[in-house]
Amino acid sequence: MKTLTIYLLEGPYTYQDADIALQISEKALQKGYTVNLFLYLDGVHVPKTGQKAAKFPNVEDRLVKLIGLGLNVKACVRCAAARGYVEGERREETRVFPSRQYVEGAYITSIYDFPDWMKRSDKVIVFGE
Amino acid sequence: MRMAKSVVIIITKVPYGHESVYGGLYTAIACSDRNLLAIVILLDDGVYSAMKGQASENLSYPCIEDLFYTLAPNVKVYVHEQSMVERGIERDRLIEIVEVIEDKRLLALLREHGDAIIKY
Amino acid sequence: MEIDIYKLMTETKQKKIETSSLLVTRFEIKETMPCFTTHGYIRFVAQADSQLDKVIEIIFLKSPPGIVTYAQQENAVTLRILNRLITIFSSGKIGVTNTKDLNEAHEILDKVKDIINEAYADYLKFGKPKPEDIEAVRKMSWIEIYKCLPQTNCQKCGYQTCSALAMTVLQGGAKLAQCTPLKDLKYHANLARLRKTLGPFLEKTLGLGS
Repeated sequence: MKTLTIYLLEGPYTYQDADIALQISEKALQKGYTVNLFLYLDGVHVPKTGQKAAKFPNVEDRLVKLIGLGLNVKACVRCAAARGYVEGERREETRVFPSRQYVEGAYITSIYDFPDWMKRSDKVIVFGE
Repeated sequence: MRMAKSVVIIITKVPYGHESVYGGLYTAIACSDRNLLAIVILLDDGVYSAMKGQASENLSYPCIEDLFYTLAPNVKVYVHEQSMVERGIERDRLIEIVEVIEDKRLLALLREHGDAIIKY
Repeated sequence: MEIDIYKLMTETKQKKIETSSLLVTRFEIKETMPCFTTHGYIRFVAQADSQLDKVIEIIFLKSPPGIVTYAQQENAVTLRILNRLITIFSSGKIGVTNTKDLNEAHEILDKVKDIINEAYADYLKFGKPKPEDIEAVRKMSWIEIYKCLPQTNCQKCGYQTCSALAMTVLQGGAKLAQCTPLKDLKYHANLARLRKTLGPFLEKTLGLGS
Protein backbone atom coordinates (compact mmCIF):
# COMPACT_ATOMS: atom_id res chain seq x y z
CA MET A 1 0.00 0.00 0.00
CA LYS A 2 1.39 3.36 -0.98
CA THR A 3 1.79 6.20 1.47
CA LEU A 4 1.40 9.89 0.75
CA THR A 5 2.42 12.61 3.18
CA ILE A 6 1.18 16.14 2.70
CA TYR A 7 2.88 19.07 4.43
CA LEU A 8 0.52 22.03 4.70
CA LEU A 9 1.85 25.44 5.67
CA GLU A 10 -1.22 27.60 5.05
CA GLY A 11 -4.41 28.15 6.96
CA PRO A 12 -7.88 27.78 5.48
CA TYR A 13 -9.66 30.33 3.23
CA THR A 14 -6.85 32.89 2.60
CA TYR A 15 -5.20 30.50 0.19
CA GLN A 16 -6.79 27.57 -1.57
CA ASP A 17 -3.92 25.34 -0.47
CA ALA A 18 -5.93 23.65 2.30
CA ASP A 19 -8.75 22.84 -0.13
CA ILE A 20 -6.39 21.35 -2.68
CA ALA A 21 -4.53 19.38 -0.03
CA LEU A 22 -7.81 17.89 1.18
CA GLN A 23 -8.95 17.19 -2.36
CA ILE A 24 -5.78 15.26 -3.11
CA SER A 25 -6.08 13.47 0.25
CA GLU A 26 -9.63 12.41 -0.56
CA LYS A 27 -8.69 10.99 -3.97
CA ALA A 28 -5.69 9.18 -2.50
CA LEU A 29 -7.78 7.71 0.34
CA GLN A 30 -10.33 6.50 -2.23
CA LYS A 31 -7.52 4.75 -4.09
CA GLY A 32 -6.56 2.98 -0.87
CA TYR A 33 -3.46 4.99 -0.03
CA THR A 34 -2.39 5.76 3.50
CA VAL A 35 -2.51 9.54 3.72
CA ASN A 36 -0.78 11.66 6.36
CA LEU A 37 -1.41 15.38 6.73
CA PHE A 38 1.19 17.32 8.71
CA LEU A 39 0.24 20.87 9.66
CA TYR A 40 2.93 23.52 10.09
CA LEU A 41 2.97 27.33 10.49
CA ASP A 42 -0.53 28.60 9.68
CA GLY A 43 -1.60 25.11 8.62
CA VAL A 44 -2.35 24.48 12.31
CA HIS A 45 -5.51 26.59 11.93
CA VAL A 46 -7.10 23.98 9.63
CA PRO A 47 -8.54 21.68 12.37
CA LYS A 48 -10.08 24.53 14.39
CA THR A 49 -13.65 23.77 15.46
CA GLY A 50 -16.53 26.15 14.86
CA GLN A 51 -15.64 27.26 11.33
CA LYS A 52 -18.58 29.01 9.63
CA ALA A 53 -17.45 29.99 6.14
CA ALA A 54 -20.25 32.04 4.62
CA LYS A 55 -19.71 31.38 0.93
CA PHE A 56 -16.67 29.14 0.79
CA PRO A 57 -16.59 25.36 1.23
CA ASN A 58 -16.20 24.56 4.93
CA VAL A 59 -12.68 23.22 5.51
CA GLU A 60 -13.48 21.87 9.00
CA ASP A 61 -16.36 19.74 7.69
CA ARG A 62 -14.23 18.34 4.88
CA LEU A 63 -11.40 17.54 7.28
CA VAL A 64 -13.75 15.72 9.67
CA LYS A 65 -15.12 13.62 6.78
CA LEU A 66 -11.59 12.67 5.66
CA ILE A 67 -10.50 11.79 9.19
CA GLY A 68 -13.49 9.44 9.14
CA LEU A 69 -12.09 7.88 5.97
CA GLY A 70 -8.69 7.33 7.64
CA LEU A 71 -6.77 10.55 7.12
CA ASN A 72 -3.97 10.91 9.73
CA VAL A 73 -3.66 14.49 10.93
CA LYS A 74 -0.91 15.89 13.13
CA ALA A 75 0.18 19.44 13.91
CA CYS A 76 3.47 20.88 15.14
CA VAL A 77 3.25 21.89 18.79
CA ARG A 78 5.57 24.91 18.37
CA CYS A 79 3.27 26.42 15.74
CA ALA A 80 0.05 25.36 17.46
CA ALA A 81 1.14 26.72 20.84
CA ALA A 82 2.18 30.03 19.28
CA ARG A 83 -1.29 30.37 17.79
CA GLY A 84 -3.06 29.55 21.02
CA TYR A 85 -4.23 25.99 20.50
CA VAL A 86 -2.26 24.12 23.16
CA GLU A 87 -4.19 23.84 26.41
CA GLY A 88 -1.96 21.79 28.67
CA GLU A 89 1.03 19.55 29.13
CA ARG A 90 1.74 16.65 26.82
CA ARG A 91 -0.12 13.43 27.74
CA GLU A 92 2.57 10.83 28.18
CA GLU A 93 0.52 7.81 27.05
CA THR A 94 -0.47 9.32 23.74
CA ARG A 95 2.33 11.92 23.37
CA VAL A 96 -0.38 14.39 22.32
CA PHE A 97 -0.95 17.93 23.59
CA PRO A 98 -4.57 18.58 24.60
CA SER A 99 -6.80 21.01 22.72
CA ARG A 100 -10.55 21.39 22.90
CA GLN A 101 -10.32 23.71 19.89
CA TYR A 102 -9.33 20.92 17.52
CA VAL A 103 -11.66 18.51 15.72
CA GLU A 104 -11.49 14.93 16.96
CA GLY A 105 -8.82 12.92 15.21
CA ALA A 106 -6.48 15.87 14.64
CA TYR A 107 -3.60 15.82 17.09
CA ILE A 108 -1.02 18.32 18.27
CA THR A 109 2.24 16.39 18.53
CA SER A 110 5.64 17.59 17.34
CA ILE A 111 7.77 18.26 14.31
CA TYR A 112 9.51 14.88 14.93
CA ASP A 113 6.49 13.19 13.39
CA PHE A 114 7.02 14.87 10.05
CA PRO A 115 10.43 13.33 9.25
CA ASP A 116 9.20 10.03 10.67
CA TRP A 117 6.27 10.13 8.24
CA MET A 118 8.50 11.23 5.38
CA LYS A 119 10.78 8.25 5.86
CA ARG A 120 7.84 5.92 5.38
CA SER A 121 6.23 7.71 2.44
CA ASP A 122 6.35 7.07 -1.27
CA LYS A 123 5.66 10.73 -1.94
CA VAL A 124 5.76 13.99 -0.02
CA ILE A 125 3.83 17.02 -1.30
CA VAL A 126 4.22 20.48 0.16
CA PHE A 127 1.54 23.17 0.06
CA GLY A 128 2.48 26.62 1.18
CA GLU A 129 3.40 30.07 0.17
CA MET B 1 8.47 1.28 -2.66
CA ARG B 2 10.86 4.22 -2.42
CA MET B 3 11.27 5.73 1.02
CA ALA B 4 12.70 9.17 1.65
CA LYS B 5 16.27 9.11 2.94
CA SER B 6 17.07 12.73 2.26
CA VAL B 7 15.31 16.06 2.13
CA VAL B 8 16.07 19.37 0.50
CA ILE B 9 14.72 22.40 2.29
CA ILE B 10 14.47 25.42 0.03
CA ILE B 11 13.99 28.79 1.66
CA THR B 12 12.81 31.63 -0.56
CA LYS B 13 11.64 34.12 2.02
CA VAL B 14 13.24 36.99 3.88
CA PRO B 15 14.12 36.39 7.52
CA TYR B 16 12.04 38.27 10.15
CA GLY B 17 9.48 39.26 7.52
CA HIS B 18 8.23 35.68 7.38
CA GLU B 19 8.16 32.91 9.98
CA SER B 20 9.07 30.32 7.41
CA VAL B 21 12.81 30.96 7.57
CA TYR B 22 12.85 30.04 11.26
CA GLY B 23 10.35 27.26 10.56
CA GLY B 24 12.47 25.88 7.75
CA LEU B 25 15.65 25.74 9.86
CA TYR B 26 13.68 24.16 12.73
CA THR B 27 12.39 21.46 10.36
CA ALA B 28 15.87 20.91 8.92
CA ILE B 29 17.19 20.15 12.41
CA ALA B 30 14.28 17.83 13.16
CA CYS B 31 14.83 15.91 9.91
CA SER B 32 18.57 15.60 10.50
CA ASP B 33 18.07 14.44 14.10
CA ARG B 34 15.71 11.76 12.77
CA ASN B 35 18.45 10.51 10.43
CA LEU B 36 17.21 12.03 7.20
CA LEU B 37 20.05 13.66 5.32
CA ALA B 38 18.93 17.27 5.18
CA ILE B 39 20.35 20.18 3.21
CA VAL B 40 19.16 23.76 3.10
CA ILE B 41 19.21 25.83 -0.08
CA LEU B 42 18.66 29.59 0.11
CA LEU B 43 17.03 30.80 -3.08
CA ASP B 44 15.46 34.09 -4.19
CA ASP B 45 14.87 36.31 -1.15
CA GLY B 46 16.05 33.45 1.06
CA VAL B 47 19.65 34.48 0.39
CA TYR B 48 19.16 37.46 2.72
CA SER B 49 18.89 34.99 5.64
CA ALA B 50 22.61 34.26 5.50
CA MET B 51 23.82 37.83 5.72
CA LYS B 52 26.34 38.74 8.40
CA GLY B 53 25.67 41.33 11.04
CA GLN B 54 22.00 40.69 11.76
CA ALA B 55 20.99 42.54 14.92
CA SER B 56 17.64 41.10 15.76
CA GLU B 57 17.61 42.05 19.46
CA ASN B 58 15.31 45.01 18.82
CA LEU B 59 12.75 42.72 17.21
CA SER B 60 12.71 40.29 20.16
CA TYR B 61 13.11 37.61 17.51
CA PRO B 62 15.74 34.86 17.37
CA CYS B 63 18.78 35.83 15.31
CA ILE B 64 18.56 33.83 12.08
CA GLU B 65 22.26 34.38 11.31
CA ASP B 66 23.26 32.66 14.55
CA LEU B 67 20.76 29.84 14.02
CA PHE B 68 22.63 28.70 10.93
CA TYR B 69 25.49 27.69 13.20
CA THR B 70 23.18 25.32 15.09
CA LEU B 71 22.69 23.38 11.87
CA ALA B 72 26.36 22.38 11.78
CA PRO B 73 27.84 19.95 11.31
CA ASN B 74 25.15 17.71 9.87
CA VAL B 75 23.06 20.08 7.77
CA LYS B 76 24.90 21.91 5.01
CA VAL B 77 23.65 25.26 3.77
CA TYR B 78 23.89 26.38 0.14
CA VAL B 79 23.22 29.81 -1.31
CA HIS B 80 22.09 30.30 -4.90
CA GLU B 81 24.56 32.49 -6.72
CA GLN B 82 22.16 33.99 -9.27
CA SER B 83 19.82 35.06 -6.45
CA MET B 84 22.77 36.84 -4.81
CA VAL B 85 23.71 38.58 -8.06
CA GLU B 86 20.14 39.75 -8.62
CA ARG B 87 20.11 41.28 -5.15
CA GLY B 88 23.58 42.79 -5.33
CA ILE B 89 24.95 40.65 -2.50
CA GLU B 90 28.67 39.87 -2.51
CA ARG B 91 30.09 36.68 -0.99
CA ASP B 92 31.85 38.53 1.82
CA ARG B 93 28.52 39.83 3.12
CA LEU B 94 27.40 36.29 3.93
CA ILE B 95 28.37 34.12 6.90
CA GLU B 96 31.42 31.99 6.22
CA ILE B 97 29.79 28.59 6.60
CA VAL B 98 27.52 28.66 3.55
CA GLU B 99 28.55 27.42 0.13
CA VAL B 100 27.63 29.44 -2.96
CA ILE B 101 26.29 27.33 -5.82
CA GLU B 102 25.33 27.99 -9.42
CA ASP B 103 22.38 26.52 -11.30
CA LYS B 104 24.05 23.30 -12.44
CA ARG B 105 25.11 22.46 -8.90
CA LEU B 106 21.65 23.37 -7.62
CA LEU B 107 20.12 20.85 -10.00
CA ALA B 108 22.66 18.22 -9.03
CA LEU B 109 21.88 18.70 -5.33
CA LEU B 110 18.15 18.41 -5.96
CA ARG B 111 18.71 15.20 -7.90
CA GLU B 112 21.06 13.74 -5.31
CA HIS B 113 19.29 14.71 -2.09
CA GLY B 114 15.77 15.52 -3.18
CA ASP B 115 13.87 12.42 -2.08
CA ALA B 116 11.59 15.03 -0.58
CA ILE B 117 11.76 18.70 -1.52
CA ILE B 118 10.20 21.28 0.76
CA LYS B 119 9.95 24.84 -0.41
CA TYR B 120 9.17 27.54 2.10
CA MET C 1 40.26 1.22 29.71
CA GLU C 2 38.36 4.45 29.31
CA ILE C 3 40.25 7.57 28.42
CA ASP C 4 38.86 11.05 28.91
CA ILE C 5 39.42 12.60 25.52
CA TYR C 6 38.87 16.10 26.83
CA LYS C 7 41.64 15.56 29.39
CA LEU C 8 43.86 14.08 26.72
CA MET C 9 43.53 17.17 24.60
CA THR C 10 44.05 19.68 27.36
CA GLU C 11 46.79 18.01 29.40
CA THR C 12 49.80 20.22 29.52
CA LYS C 13 52.98 19.39 31.33
CA GLN C 14 54.11 22.99 31.10
CA LYS C 15 53.32 25.60 33.68
CA LYS C 16 49.88 27.22 33.62
CA ILE C 17 49.33 29.39 30.57
CA GLU C 18 49.70 33.07 31.35
CA THR C 19 46.56 35.17 31.01
CA SER C 20 48.19 37.36 28.39
CA SER C 21 48.46 34.48 25.96
CA LEU C 22 44.85 33.36 26.24
CA LEU C 23 42.99 33.60 22.96
CA VAL C 24 39.52 33.32 24.46
CA THR C 25 38.43 34.61 27.85
CA ARG C 26 34.67 34.43 27.56
CA PHE C 27 31.73 33.20 25.51
CA GLU C 28 28.27 34.59 25.02
CA ILE C 29 25.47 32.14 24.31
CA LYS C 30 23.56 33.55 21.35
CA GLU C 31 20.76 31.17 20.38
CA THR C 32 19.32 27.81 21.29
CA MET C 33 17.20 25.34 19.34
CA PRO C 34 15.81 21.96 20.34
CA CYS C 35 18.09 18.98 19.86
CA PHE C 36 15.85 16.13 18.95
CA THR C 37 18.46 13.44 19.60
CA THR C 38 17.52 13.54 23.28
CA HIS C 39 14.04 14.64 24.25
CA GLY C 40 14.05 17.98 26.03
CA TYR C 41 17.68 18.74 25.23
CA ILE C 42 18.98 21.75 23.36
CA ARG C 43 21.62 22.66 20.85
CA PHE C 44 23.15 26.10 21.10
CA VAL C 45 25.50 28.53 19.45
CA ALA C 46 27.90 30.74 21.39
CA GLN C 47 30.25 33.51 20.34
CA ALA C 48 33.84 33.69 21.58
CA ASP C 49 35.46 37.05 22.23
CA SER C 50 38.09 36.34 19.52
CA GLN C 51 38.43 35.06 16.00
CA LEU C 52 39.54 31.44 16.06
CA ASP C 53 41.02 31.02 12.58
CA LYS C 54 44.53 30.51 14.00
CA VAL C 55 43.62 27.47 16.08
CA ILE C 56 41.23 25.50 13.85
CA GLU C 57 43.94 23.51 12.08
CA ILE C 58 45.84 22.91 15.30
CA ILE C 59 42.76 21.60 17.08
CA PHE C 60 42.32 19.23 14.12
CA LEU C 61 45.92 18.06 14.35
CA LYS C 62 45.76 17.63 18.12
CA SER C 63 42.60 15.53 18.13
CA PRO C 64 42.38 11.74 17.78
CA PRO C 65 41.44 11.38 14.09
CA GLY C 66 38.52 9.11 14.88
CA ILE C 67 36.65 11.85 16.73
CA VAL C 68 37.37 14.92 14.63
CA THR C 69 36.38 16.24 11.22
CA TYR C 70 37.88 19.27 9.54
CA ALA C 71 35.80 21.23 7.04
CA GLN C 72 38.51 22.99 5.10
CA GLN C 73 36.21 25.17 3.02
CA GLU C 74 34.38 26.60 6.01
CA ASN C 75 37.56 26.50 8.15
CA ALA C 76 35.70 24.78 10.95
CA VAL C 77 36.46 21.72 13.05
CA THR C 78 33.94 19.36 14.66
CA LEU C 79 34.79 17.28 17.71
CA ARG C 80 32.75 14.29 18.81
CA ILE C 81 33.50 14.51 22.51
CA LEU C 82 31.68 14.83 25.84
CA ASN C 83 28.77 12.90 24.31
CA ARG C 84 27.91 15.61 21.79
CA LEU C 85 29.14 17.36 18.67
CA ILE C 86 31.10 20.55 19.19
CA THR C 87 31.87 22.62 16.10
CA ILE C 88 34.41 25.41 16.33
CA PHE C 89 34.20 28.04 13.59
CA SER C 90 36.90 30.46 12.52
CA SER C 91 34.57 33.40 13.14
CA GLY C 92 34.55 32.53 16.84
CA LYS C 93 31.17 30.85 16.82
CA ILE C 94 30.80 27.52 18.65
CA GLY C 95 27.94 25.15 17.81
CA VAL C 96 27.09 22.43 20.36
CA THR C 97 24.43 19.71 20.23
CA ASN C 98 22.79 17.41 22.78
CA THR C 99 23.00 19.61 25.87
CA LYS C 100 20.71 19.36 28.88
CA ASP C 101 20.22 23.05 29.60
CA LEU C 102 21.98 26.40 29.75
CA ASN C 103 23.85 25.48 32.94
CA GLU C 104 25.39 22.51 31.22
CA ALA C 105 26.06 24.71 28.19
CA HIS C 106 28.25 26.98 30.31
CA GLU C 107 30.16 24.00 31.71
CA ILE C 108 30.81 22.71 28.21
CA LEU C 109 31.97 26.13 27.05
CA ASP C 110 34.54 26.22 29.87
CA LYS C 111 35.99 23.01 28.49
CA VAL C 112 35.92 24.35 24.94
CA LYS C 113 37.77 27.43 26.17
CA ASP C 114 40.54 25.20 27.54
CA ILE C 115 40.82 23.31 24.25
CA ILE C 116 41.05 26.56 22.30
CA ASN C 117 43.57 28.19 24.61
CA GLU C 118 45.76 25.07 24.70
CA ALA C 119 45.73 25.04 20.91
CA TYR C 120 46.63 28.74 20.88
CA ALA C 121 49.61 28.04 23.13
CA ASP C 122 50.74 25.48 20.56
CA TYR C 123 50.18 27.99 17.79
CA LEU C 124 52.41 30.49 19.54
CA LYS C 125 55.02 27.78 20.00
CA PHE C 126 54.90 25.98 16.64
CA GLY C 127 53.27 28.49 14.30
CA LYS C 128 50.81 27.68 11.53
CA PRO C 129 50.80 23.98 10.56
CA LYS C 130 52.10 23.06 7.13
CA PRO C 131 49.54 21.90 4.53
CA GLU C 132 51.39 18.59 4.21
CA ASP C 133 50.96 17.93 7.95
CA ILE C 134 47.24 18.51 7.62
CA GLU C 135 46.99 16.26 4.58
CA ALA C 136 48.89 13.51 6.38
CA VAL C 137 46.48 13.56 9.30
CA ARG C 138 43.47 13.74 7.00
CA LYS C 139 44.63 10.54 5.34
CA MET C 140 45.48 8.93 8.70
CA SER C 141 43.81 5.60 9.16
CA TRP C 142 44.39 2.87 11.69
CA ILE C 143 46.36 1.03 8.99
CA GLU C 144 49.03 3.76 8.91
CA ILE C 145 49.52 3.31 12.64
CA TYR C 146 49.34 -0.48 12.42
CA LYS C 147 52.12 -0.54 9.83
CA CYS C 148 54.47 1.06 12.38
CA LEU C 149 53.61 -1.33 15.23
CA PRO C 150 55.52 -4.59 15.85
CA GLN C 151 52.56 -6.59 14.44
CA THR C 152 53.29 -9.49 16.76
CA ASN C 153 49.93 -9.43 18.59
CA CYS C 154 51.80 -9.87 21.88
CA GLN C 155 48.82 -8.35 23.81
CA LYS C 156 51.12 -6.44 26.20
CA CYS C 157 49.05 -3.32 25.39
CA GLY C 158 45.91 -4.98 26.74
CA TYR C 159 44.40 -5.61 23.30
CA GLN C 160 44.16 -8.87 21.38
CA THR C 161 45.88 -7.61 18.26
CA CYS C 162 48.04 -4.74 17.09
CA SER C 163 45.26 -3.74 14.71
CA ALA C 164 42.81 -3.51 17.63
CA LEU C 165 45.19 -1.17 19.45
CA ALA C 166 45.66 0.93 16.31
CA MET C 167 41.90 1.29 15.82
CA THR C 168 41.24 2.14 19.46
CA VAL C 169 44.07 4.68 19.58
CA LEU C 170 42.59 6.46 16.59
CA GLN C 171 39.29 6.82 18.44
CA GLY C 172 41.11 8.23 21.45
CA GLY C 173 40.32 5.16 23.54
CA ALA C 174 43.88 3.99 24.12
CA LYS C 175 47.41 5.40 24.18
CA LEU C 176 50.29 4.32 21.95
CA ALA C 177 52.53 4.17 25.03
CA GLN C 178 50.56 1.04 25.93
CA CYS C 179 52.64 -0.72 23.27
CA THR C 180 55.64 -1.21 25.53
CA PRO C 181 57.66 -3.28 22.98
CA LEU C 182 57.97 -0.10 20.86
CA LYS C 183 60.47 1.19 23.41
CA ASP C 184 62.82 -1.76 22.71
CA LEU C 185 65.90 -1.08 20.60
CA LYS C 186 64.67 -3.81 18.24
CA TYR C 187 61.77 -1.57 17.19
CA HIS C 188 63.75 1.67 17.05
CA ALA C 189 62.99 2.11 13.34
CA ASN C 190 59.27 1.43 13.92
CA LEU C 191 59.14 4.09 16.61
CA ALA C 192 60.90 6.62 14.41
CA ARG C 193 58.54 5.87 11.53
CA LEU C 194 55.56 6.21 13.85
CA ARG C 195 56.74 9.59 15.12
CA LYS C 196 57.21 10.79 11.55
CA THR C 197 53.79 9.50 10.48
CA LEU C 198 51.96 11.15 13.36
CA GLY C 199 53.71 14.50 13.53
CA PRO C 200 54.34 16.44 16.76
CA PHE C 201 50.70 17.14 17.64
CA LEU C 202 49.19 13.70 17.08
CA GLU C 203 52.21 12.09 18.71
CA LYS C 204 51.22 13.80 21.93
CA THR C 205 47.47 13.32 21.54
CA LEU C 206 47.73 9.63 20.75
CA GLY C 207 49.91 9.19 23.81
CA LEU C 208 53.15 8.11 22.24
CA GLY C 209 55.16 9.59 25.06
CA SER C 210 58.67 10.98 24.81
